[in-house]
Amino acid sequence: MNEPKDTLPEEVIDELLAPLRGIDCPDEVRRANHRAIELAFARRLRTPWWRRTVSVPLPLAIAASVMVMATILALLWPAENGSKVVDAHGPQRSATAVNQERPVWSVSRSYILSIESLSRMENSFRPDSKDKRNDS
Amino acid sequence: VSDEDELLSGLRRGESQAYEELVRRFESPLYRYFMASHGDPQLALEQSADCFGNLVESLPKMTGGPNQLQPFVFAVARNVLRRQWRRRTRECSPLSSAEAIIDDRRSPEMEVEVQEQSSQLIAAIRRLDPQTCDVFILRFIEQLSIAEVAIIVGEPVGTVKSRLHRGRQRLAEILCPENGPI
Repeated sequence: MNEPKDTLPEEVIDELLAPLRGIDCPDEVRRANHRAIELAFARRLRTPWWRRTVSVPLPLAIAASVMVMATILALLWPAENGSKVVDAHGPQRSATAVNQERPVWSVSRSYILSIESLSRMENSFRPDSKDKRNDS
Repeated sequence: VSDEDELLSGLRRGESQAYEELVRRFESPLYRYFMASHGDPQLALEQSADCFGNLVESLPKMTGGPNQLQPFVFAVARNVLRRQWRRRTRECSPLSSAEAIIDDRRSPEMEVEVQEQSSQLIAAIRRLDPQTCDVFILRFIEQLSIAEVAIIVGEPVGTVKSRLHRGRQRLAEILCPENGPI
């Protein structure tokens, strides 16, 4: 193998690291591993059902969420659409019907404004009222 | 259906027999992996147990076929090791501790020589940066393929190759500083 001089060839490394491959697992470690597995099983059994998780394939998860979104939209859509339908009949309705739907405050306001304008008109037709007061 | 398929489906169903088999297959490789990473037998014991505990939680969610099992197990082991790295700032552990677990079916002289060599090697590997050290152990001690190492560390094959090359360069500098024969 053509190795640069400053690196160790793989064969040499293989040979060098061979003693590390001889490291074997002591019995103490074996016992600890078995204990860890038993503990993990016990922990899993103790977990209440509402905290357990299941793995779901991603396409299935996406499809389920899209269906939920579609259902929510389908439930909300008729309500919004219905209000638009009522508005669509607007131009065809009579003026009285439109007036009936106007808020009460606007009717009262126009009524008050008309009274004010009438009173102004009345004052303008009585130019001598001030003079009479002065005379007396 | 092969034994591997049966084992994997048993692990996914959470059968205790399948987990017994998993421990039998992976306890030595995982212990070696942890030992080669830091050289502390007590810490390796804790990490090994921690890793098997995590595997009980995570294996039912594993995707892929039986050939993915080994990379998956080592990926979990690597996460355990990384958590440990975050907790401790790579403090030195006594290298003599690594000597206690080397196979003792050799002559006393040979054993001493092998132990010294192993300690030097563990010390040399630990001087590599953590990512390179990880890749190096998986490739040269666990003898996994470069593709499997790439899956475990979550890096492209090219990056793994360059890490291995850098690791070999660095190891050459550490083990033979004068560029002399090994």
